[in-house]
Parts: sequence; structure tokens; C-alpha cells
Amino acid sequence: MLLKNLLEHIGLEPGRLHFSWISSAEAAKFVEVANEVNQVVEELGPARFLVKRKARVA
Amino acid sequence: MLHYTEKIREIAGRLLKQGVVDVFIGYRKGSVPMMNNPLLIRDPGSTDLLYWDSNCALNLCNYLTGRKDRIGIVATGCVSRNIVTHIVENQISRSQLYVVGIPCTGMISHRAVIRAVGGREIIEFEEQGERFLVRGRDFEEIFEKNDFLQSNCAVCRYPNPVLYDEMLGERVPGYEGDDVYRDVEKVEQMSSEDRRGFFSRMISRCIRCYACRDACPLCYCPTCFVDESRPQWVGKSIDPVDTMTFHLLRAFHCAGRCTDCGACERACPMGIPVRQFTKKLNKDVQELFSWEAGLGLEQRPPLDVYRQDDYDGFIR
Amino acid sequence: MITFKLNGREVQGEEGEYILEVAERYGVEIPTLCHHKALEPAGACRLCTVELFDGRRTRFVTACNYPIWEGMEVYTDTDEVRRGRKLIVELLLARCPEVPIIRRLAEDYGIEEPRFKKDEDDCILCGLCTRICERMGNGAISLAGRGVGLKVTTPFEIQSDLCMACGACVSVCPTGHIKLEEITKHTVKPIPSEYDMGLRGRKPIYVPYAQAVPNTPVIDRDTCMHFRTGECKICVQSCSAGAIDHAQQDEAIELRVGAIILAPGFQAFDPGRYEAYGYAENPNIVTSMEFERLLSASGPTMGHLVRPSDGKEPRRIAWVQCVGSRDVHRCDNAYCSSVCCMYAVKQAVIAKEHAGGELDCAIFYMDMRTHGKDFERYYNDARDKHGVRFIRSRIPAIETVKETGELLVPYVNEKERVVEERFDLVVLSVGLETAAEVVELAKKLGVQLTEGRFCKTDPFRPVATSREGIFVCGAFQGPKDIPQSVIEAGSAAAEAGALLSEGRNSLTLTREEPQERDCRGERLRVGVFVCRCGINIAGVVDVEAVRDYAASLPHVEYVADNLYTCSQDTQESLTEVIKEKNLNRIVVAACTPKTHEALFQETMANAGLNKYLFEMANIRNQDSWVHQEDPEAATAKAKDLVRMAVAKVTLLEPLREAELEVNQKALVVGGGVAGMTAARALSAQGYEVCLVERAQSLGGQARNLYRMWTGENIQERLEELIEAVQGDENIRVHLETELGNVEGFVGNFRTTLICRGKEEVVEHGIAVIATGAQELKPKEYLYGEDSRVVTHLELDRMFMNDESALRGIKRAVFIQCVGSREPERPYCSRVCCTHSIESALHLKELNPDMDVYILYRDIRTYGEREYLYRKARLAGILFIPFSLERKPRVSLGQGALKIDIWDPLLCQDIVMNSDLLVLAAAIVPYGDQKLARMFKVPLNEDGFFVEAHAKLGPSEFATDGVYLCGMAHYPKPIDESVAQAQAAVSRAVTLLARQKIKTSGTVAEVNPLYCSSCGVCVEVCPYKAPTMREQGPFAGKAEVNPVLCKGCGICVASCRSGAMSLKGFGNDQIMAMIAHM
Repeated sequence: MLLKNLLEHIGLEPGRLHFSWISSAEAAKFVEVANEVNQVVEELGPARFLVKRKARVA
Repeated sequence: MLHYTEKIREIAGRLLKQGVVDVFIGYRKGSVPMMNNPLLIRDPGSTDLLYWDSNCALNLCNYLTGRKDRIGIVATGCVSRNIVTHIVENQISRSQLYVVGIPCTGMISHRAVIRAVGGREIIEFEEQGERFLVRGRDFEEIFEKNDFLQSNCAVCRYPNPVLYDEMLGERVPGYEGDDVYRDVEKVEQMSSEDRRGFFSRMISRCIRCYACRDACPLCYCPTCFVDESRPQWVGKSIDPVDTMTFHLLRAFHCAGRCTDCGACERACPMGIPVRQFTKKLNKDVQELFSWEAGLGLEQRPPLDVYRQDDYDGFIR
Repeated sequence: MITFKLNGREVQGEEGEYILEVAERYGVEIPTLCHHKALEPAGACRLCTVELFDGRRTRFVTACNYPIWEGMEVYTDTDEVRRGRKLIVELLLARCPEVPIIRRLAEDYGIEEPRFKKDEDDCILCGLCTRICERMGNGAISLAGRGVGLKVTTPFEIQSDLCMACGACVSVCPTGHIKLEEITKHTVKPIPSEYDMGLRGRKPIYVPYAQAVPNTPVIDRDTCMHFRTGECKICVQSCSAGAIDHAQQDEAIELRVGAIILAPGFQAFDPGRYEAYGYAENPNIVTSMEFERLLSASGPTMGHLVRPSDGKEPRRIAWVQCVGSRDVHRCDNAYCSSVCCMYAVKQAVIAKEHAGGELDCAIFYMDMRTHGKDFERYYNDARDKHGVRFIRSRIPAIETVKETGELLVPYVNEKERVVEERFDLVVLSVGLETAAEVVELAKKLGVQLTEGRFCKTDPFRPVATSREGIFVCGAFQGPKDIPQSVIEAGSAAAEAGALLSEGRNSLTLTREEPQERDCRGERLRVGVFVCRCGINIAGVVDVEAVRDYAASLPHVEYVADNLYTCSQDTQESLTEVIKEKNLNRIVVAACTPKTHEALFQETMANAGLNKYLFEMANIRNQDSWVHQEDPEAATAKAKDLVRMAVAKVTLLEPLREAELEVNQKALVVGGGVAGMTAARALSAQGYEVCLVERAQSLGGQARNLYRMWTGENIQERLEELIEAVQGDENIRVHLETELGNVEGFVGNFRTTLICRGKEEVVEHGIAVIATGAQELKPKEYLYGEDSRVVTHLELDRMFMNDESALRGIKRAVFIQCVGSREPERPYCSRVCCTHSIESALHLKELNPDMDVYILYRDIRTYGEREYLYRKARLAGILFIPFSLERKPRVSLGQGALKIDIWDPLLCQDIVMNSDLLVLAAAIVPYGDQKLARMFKVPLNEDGFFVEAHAKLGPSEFATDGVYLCGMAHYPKPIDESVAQAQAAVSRAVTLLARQKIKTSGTVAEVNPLYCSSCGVCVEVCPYKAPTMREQGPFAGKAEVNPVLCKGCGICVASCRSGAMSLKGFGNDQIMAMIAHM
């Protein structure tokens, strides 16, 4: 929670970071969470924040 | 706070003479005004070097880590809280310590003073009770100390040592307002985009000198993650993403342990308010775990323990 | 030793060898058509002509039969030689212009058309056939005639009765000239492969099937030519290991044993007896066992679904249920075989998956019996998602359409009309029966059988036969599926174990572990094994491409692909390859480490490698299964996964394992039949048990039950069991007790019991969960509103208390599936059909004039419970089926209960009054989340506990040291609860009896140079594994006790200083995987 708050505090879009606890027996939940995260991230589009660009060589 | 100087000298002399401690840690007057240096003395005859005024903002707890001898140390509220954290985290044992407690009325922000005199060179500083005087080559000004406190001191709730063997004076009142985290809240109210801009601009000046880390008593790992090369957790360049990563990780390593002593911010040569990272964590830790670091020897910081009732609303 | 020159190179051979043999050994190719290793050379085809220089001059000799001598010089490929061979080939081509092998040779020698007059023969008179026939100890054929009239033939040129149709001549003939049908009088057919149900042939020496244990070839004495003629022995000659010994005799071995377990299994019913189905005549009517092979990747069609008659893909398949089951007219198997409904559903779904969308699958059944755990869901999915058609009708006969080989299946449809459907393939769902030899065996052993020729047992001792010390499990105990068979196997082991417990460990042999090779400092040599998993992986992923890609990765020394990497023979070849290539890191790209890592690691240990130098890439579950639609991307992903695994494995280091004592006490949670049986079984094996029950008394749900379907009085038997438990000095019973907390792990649990507010801590090595289930309180059919509407348990209570009141009832109605098989509870409660029929029969006993109706969806009296169903019908109990869409309606009318139901046979609504309505209420689990959390074990969506493996681990959890039995697993009758309790115990005893267990080598370790002594690890560890060192150069730094460490990694995540790492999951290893992603 602290990490999530801190990251979002410094400007990470909410929805970029998810936490979930899924046991190996919870296949249905895994699918559900994966789909949901996927959907949220797709809506957010490609990440720009905290993504290191490759150094450009002149 | 000038009057503590004599008492400190006297106690240090006594402790060293009686052999209660092997070394005494305090401050000496800095060669540059408003920049007092840490001082370690073993010779009871050298106690005159010890000095105290409102410029003793470097955290002396830094010099305790891993020591095996008996130590006398002067400690304000925040330093004493760091000593507590040090004891809890096995960095020093209580029995090695003789803590000389100082009820603290706050430290002066040298940067604010320099700004107030328009950046002219200050060659002399003199504390006069609630006021202080600064003198340059061609000027002299007197300021109210309360107007020039470090921002962490201005809202300090624990100015009195939480752990000591001897107190140098009467306890002083702590800050009682409920707006301790007003600066953090201001940032919180910004949009995600604005916050991103705020922090990115803030660290754009960073030269990756790691002075903030070195000044911090919590940073005592034998090998710091920034120096690790296998794997390299964070790039060593001043790429904005690397710099942000450094600040994030440094702050996060202090989560639940930071006493907001302000040493990091004071040490920063570029004047970056790096406490903006740690203070957000302090605020959240207090809200989520009702925890403030270094107040007692009985409990470990919240991130060191797991309890069934820990907040888990963010996990789905 | 003779040394000579071959194409200028110095080579060596033994005295008596021929040039061709030596050349072959040195990899020099010499063409030949008439040579066979097993036969003396004849020099008949002349193709192997080579140039020989004897020191003075050169000449041409045939390599196959020219013996070598010291100092000679041989040239195999000079222009002269080639010119000579070309002429020979040209002559052969003129004689046999259409024979493929000759045409290929002609191409090699640049001949387009022979210059000679072309003939139309296909025999080159090489004589291989006649020579091999002689070698077989026979002489059915020989070369006869002279000159141009020379040919291979039988005496008098008629079909020979000397010929034994062994086919050796056909197998050696290079041109395909020999036709066995022309030679022999016997019918020519391949030796049917038992494993493939005769759908393909096998050899007289054969490995029964790929995963056979032991995976050694066997010789079939009935077909082996050596055993028929005393000759041949070619196998002896070609086995380089010298393993073949024809002189072996059957041995009689006498063993002195304390217990016998009978597990002879079943034989599938032979539908050849059903003339009306025409199984014997039409190859497109197959048994379910044959169909199983047709679906299998290792089967005769490699899993490609085709009709046996013409190899065409079927478009319509029908399954006909109850062939040889529930039938007393055409056979004597009145019982239900229990498994056929489920396997037919499974086959239909798999057939559809194999064939794609177009295939029509129809199952003709009487009652759909999917009463196993999660079976009902599968049935629903088969119907609703896969579109399998289910038609309730018994099929009287199957007719063949001669012209097309299609099959006509007549049946009665919902409108009670007889209709016919055409199918390309019909699968007969054959039942299970006891083989005649087994009946014989039972007689010999003095073990009593049931009416259905299964072994007779007692519900409270379901695996004990009528003879003390002899136990039974599997289908001989009664027709059953794999999970139940595995449960009974455990149960029989527990019973036998109890008899033998005194002798435990007295005859044990310690396995010698091969010396582990110290491969530190060696150059990295990675072996990558890519598994096809039948078609599971290879059907989607291009396995060869992945294999070849793996070969291109750094440090990879050896690559291979296997049909099933997990099969016994592959394991052996893996061991060999590891040794031979001196591999020191292994990657298996296959399925999930969850099921197979241990197996491969054992193989590595057998090859002398530390088992932690291993990595699995899951290219099945995480790749081929989820990307079926996109084979290209799946192949690319498989390569990625393999590359990551290789990157990681190169950084792995050998790890050591620590030993841990196992506490010898057991905890059993739940004091019902299952819990008490488990406690007794543990005690019988000499272990102390702490039995915890939340109620005030022992007995559980069985306290509410009246009578077994086999007639036993449950209360009497239950009392006996309770007394036995209470009188057992190994068992401590804790009533009114619940679990407060569970600490520790396998071998060393510490559990806090709370009894009326008082806490007590018990230490135990294992735990058995037997918390049971309960009867649903129905919310329909006026239950709770009218006292005449009761549940099963309430009716049983009435039977026990006051039967007389029930005698006056004129009409009783039972409604089945109340709360079961409904959308919100989509499972079958398994016991209710039998329970209703048993209760109905009891009502009939009380008052033979009573009208008794049972309203049902499918009657699921599986196994020999079917007799009870039959008895009920004979006793005049009436059965009316209903569907979920048209459930009966119950209302109150003129003092009686009014029940409305649609009768699909009469096609009309029936209204009846009743004095008693019995609801077959569902069995619902407690769904105890708290208990599940405490023992870290999972619950399924319905609230039942999830076993380690539905088939292979039905009585244990995936969590080590925690076992499962009774209705907490799934609804089940008493005999099955007892069996599972004993099975859970036998699993537990395998752990307890070891007394020590090895812990994993995957534990955390501290790099003291990085450690800042802050103590976070000590604080966060749930197992108390890290401590601060008290002495030594690193005093004050942390260290990890590998015995206590479970490898969870929480300390690693918490360590700010980066001093903690998890062995096998180090920073460098994980970063390497990420870097190679």
C-alpha cells in the first residue's frame, strides 16, 4: 500500500499498479483479475512515466 | 540554545574523565558560519572544542553505527528517535550509550538566511536567545529565529529526547497544530499529471551525489543498492528515470523508520526538498499503521512485521 | 586383428570378417541389395563390387562375401567400380523397371532408361527371402527353376502349409515382390497389439507400451519363431547388451506374507455377444476401449480421429451406453458399471476437440450417471458448451448400410416415436466385469463373491474380504473409476499395514543413491529436452523448431525432443545422455513443475547430477494450451521460455538438503465415521492420535442414518466404532473442541485447541481433515411449512423412533435432486438416489399396500446399488422422471399434499395426493474458510476441500502433511468415507514411518558481507528460520537455519541490504531470465 501510494503520489497513473493474492487453486480468480488488469491498462495506454528511453546517439 | 554549550562541555569532560564513556560525540563550531561539524573526542582535555547552537542539524546518530566502544552522545528529539531505531535494528546497544538529551527549539535553515540576505556572503553568525545576528563584509542583520526554522523543525512534535541518561534543561513544548502534513496534502490534491511534473522538476537539479543518503542515519547498509552492479538496480547516470528511481527507493527504504530529522534535505547541495518523498511515506505509515518511528524500544517498524489485521484493502 | 587399407585409409577388422562389415563400421557406404546382417552373404546382387589391389594387380570382388586379409587395399568408389555398378543397376532396371529401390539406384548412377529390353518383373533373385526362411528354421520357399526360369516359389507352386506366416521373407524383401498371401495357407494378419486393442500390430518382441514399467521388451512365446522352430535367434545376435535368454523358464516363487491385497482389475465386456449390435461384423462399431486408443496421441492413428473401415474422418459419432451393464437379458450383468457415462461424455468432448466444430456427437443413455466430484459440471459443459447431444433411449439394435459402411441407430424420441439416425461410427460403452480367471482365483483363495461376481465386503470395512488378512481394491471390489480405485488402494494398504505394523522397517532395503558428481568449475554443458507431450504440445508448438533453436543457445551442448519426456524409457535415455555427454545443467521444456519437476530431478540424481541444476520451461500449460489458436506465436513463446530457462540454468548452483524429524503424533479433525475410522487406522499402525470433534459426542452425520442399502443397521455399527475409539489407548478424544490456531508445517505442527474457552496446544506431525458435510434445509416443496414434508434424515429419524406411525400412510412420494444439480449448486449429491430407494423399500416393507412414487431426474444407483433399483421396481415402486425445466409442483389441497408432475412417458400432467413427501435434500459442505486458511488448503467453488490431484491424490492435500477424507471432500456413502479415511491414513503413514524428511534445498541464505544486522529477516519469518550469529567472524550478522526455512522468500523481499537470497531464485538468476525475455 505504501509503495502504491508513493508511486501514485509522484505521478504514476492509478490503475498502472495492481496487487492481488491468488492461490494456485483459484483459477477463476486469476482469469478475472488478469482480464481486469488488462482492460484497465489497455485503457491507460502505453506507459510513459518511469520508462527509461534508450540513450540516443547523435 | 547557546547556553547548552557549557553544560555539554562539562558533562563530556566528566564522562570521559570518569571513564563512563570511551568517546563523546557532539558538534564543533563550523569553519563556515551556520555549518557546525560533528565532533568525536576521547581526550577530556579537548572538551572546549564542543559547541552547541541552532546550527547543529546534522544527525549524530550516523556516527553510532556498528561502534563497539562506550559512547556519550548529545541528542535532540529527532536524534534520540534515530538512536531508538538504531537500537531496535541492532546497530548499537543501549548499554553502550550515555545519551545527553537536549530539549530542542529547532534548527535554523541556513538556506533561508542566505536567501534573506540576498545571497551575500555571511562571515559571522551569532545566536542571541530568540534572535540571531548575521554579519557580512558590509552588512549586519538580526532575525527572529522562529521565522527561519528548518521546515521539519517548524512542525516538530517531538523536540524533547525520547531516550536519555541526562537532560540538559527543561522540556520544551512540541508543535501541536494538526497541519503537520500540510505540504504533503497540497501535493496530494494536485492531479496525477501535475504531481508527475512537480516531482520531475524537483529532482531535475539532482546531481546524484548521494549526500542525502550519506547524511541519513537510516542508510547504513554495507553495500547500498545504488552501488550494486550485479544486478544494477538503478542506472548511475543522471537520466531522469534513474534519478527518480534512486529517490523512490531511497525513500522507500526509510518507510516507517524516518524521524523527519531533515538531515537529508540540509545535506543536499542543490537544495532539493527530498523530504517530500519520505514525508509522504511518514504520513501514510501514520494513517495505515498509527506509527511514528523511534518512539519506543519495544516495537519494530511496521514493515518489519506482519499482523492478521494489517490493512489489505488494496489487495484484491 | 587384421589391418588393411580402405580407400587409402588404414582400417582394422577381425579375422573372418568381410569387407562390407568393416566398411560399414568405418562409415564407408557400399551399396547392396542382397545383404542382411543376420544371414550368411550370398554375393547375389553384385552391387557391392569393389576394387581390390593385392600388391601386384587389381581385381573386382564382392564386398559382402570377400574375407579381409592383412595388407590388402580396397577401393570402394573408383571410376571403374562405378562403371561396373552402373551396368549392374542398368540390368536390374531392365528386369524390374517399376521397383522403387531400383529406380532410386538408377537415378543415383545417372541412368534414365536401360539400354536393354525391359521386363515386368519385380524380383531380383537376391535370395534374401529363401535364406531368411531357412534361418527361421523353415523351408517354405526356395529358388526353383533354371536360367531365365529361376524364381522364388513354394513346393509345387501352391500355397504352402509348411509356411508359418511369420512374415520374415516379406520384411527382408528389398523390392516388395514377396506376397505372404501367395505363399501361405494360413490367414495373414498382424499380431494384434494388446495395448492398441488390436487396432494395429506388434512384433513378437515388443515393449507393451511407451510408459510400461519396467520398460523392457518381452518375447511372445506364441509367435516368436525361435519358440516355434528352435531357430532364428537373430535377436540374440543383434542385442549388443547380450540381454536375450531364450532358456528362461517360468518360476514358481513362494513368499511368506502377512497380508494379501487383491487388485486384479476388470475386463471390458465383450460386445461380440450382442448380435443385434453387429460389433463383430462392422469395423465402424468399436468399443469404448478401442475408441480410447483412436483418440490417443500414442494410438494407432496418432490421435487422428478416423473410421477404422476406410480411414475417413467421421462426421457423426454415436455412443451407446450400458452395453454389458444393467442388463439381464443379453448378459448376466445386472449391475451398473459406474464409469461408462462419464467416460462417454469425456470421449465425446475430446472427439469434438480433436475434430473441430463439425463433428456431431450423440450419447444414447438410460440414466446419465455423473455422480463423481466435478463430473456434473463436466456433463453440463459437454451439453451446453460443446454441444454434445444426450438422448435418453436404450438402443435395441444397430444396422449397417452396406454401401457406405454407415450405421443406422433406431431410438425412441421424446414424442415416443421410433426414429432412425445415421452415424459414421458407433462407440459401444462397454461395461466392467470380473474375468473368469479372477472368479477362479477368488474360489482358490476362499474369498466370497457378490451376485455380480465382485468381491464381497462390508460397508464398514470396504476393502476387507470374507477371509481375514486378504484385502481387495479397485474394480474387483465393485465397478469404479480411478479416484475411487486409488482411494481403495490406500485403504487396502492401510488395512494390510495395520496387520504388518510390528514388522515395519524390518525388511527394508536402503536405496543406494548414486554418487553425486561434483561439477563445480566445469565448463557449462546444458542439455535441453523438449517434450511433445503427445499432441498436447506438438499439436500447437513446432517442437522441432524449438529444439533446433535451443541448440543455438549459448552453453547448450545437447538437445532432443521426446514424445513423452516423462515416460520411463525417456527417463532412462535421459540418464544415459547426461552421463555420456557429461551434461551439468538440464532444461526440460514440457509441462508444469508442479507435477513433473520431482520426476526429472530424480532422473538427474540417478545420473549423478545435483537435482537443483535443473529448470523447467512450461511450454504446455502456459503456452500450447492457452495459445491453441496461434501456433506461430506459441512457437515463438516456447522459444522465449526455453531461452529464459537456459539463461537461468547456467547460473544455478548445486544445493544441499537438510533433514527434519517428523513428530509421530497425528491430529484428526472431525469425529464422524471418517474421522473415527482415520483415528482407529492410525492407532492400529501404532500412532498416537488426537481426535477433535466440535459436537458433544462422536458420530457425526451417521447418527441420523437408519440403514445401509445393503441392509446393515447403521446405529449398531456406529456404536461399535465409537466404543472402539473411546476404548483405544492411542486415541485422545477432544469433544466440544475447535481449532484456534495452527502453526508449523509438515512433521512439526503446533495446533491450539479450544475447548469451552480453554486453550491447549498439541504438537503433531500430520493432520487429517474429516469435517464432513450436512443436509441442506430445502427452501421449496413446502418444506418447513407442512410437517408431512420431510428430508431423508428426518425420515430416517422416524424409522428409528416410531415406525408404526408410518404404516398408515397410503401414498408416499420422493422428490430427488432437491438443491442438487441446480444452477446454484451444480453437483450431484451422490447418495440420495440410493437413499430414497432404500427408504422407499422400507416403507413398502412397513405397508406393502402403500403407493410409493419416486420423482427423479436420473437414477444414479451406481455399481451394485443397481440391484436395489431393480428390487424397487419389482416391488411396485413407481418412478417418474422430470427435467430441471419441469420440476414437480407441490401444493396443499383438501387436507393432503398435492403433487403435480409432467410424465414424459404418458405425455401428460399427473396430479397425485400424498400423505408423505420425502425430499432428497442436497448434501452441502461447511465451507470452513478458517480451517482452510489455518492449514493452507484450498476449497472449491462449492465449498468442498480440494484434494492434491483429482485422480492420483484424492485423499491428500497439496500441502504436505495434511490429508483429507469423508464428506468434506465430496458427498459419499459410509463405505466410501471409511475407505477414504483409511486411504488418508495410509498416505499419512508413508510420511510418519519415514521419521525424518528431507527439506528442500531451495532455502534462503545470507551473504554476511551485505548483511547490515538490522534483523528484519528475524522479525518477518513465519518459521523462525533466520537468527543472528553469535560467534565467528560474522557475529552479529544474520544466518538461516535451512531445516526451518520453507523457501517462501519473505525475508528476501524484506531485506533492504540485499543480503538475503533464495537459492535457486537468486537475483542474478531472475535478472538473467528477465534479460532474456
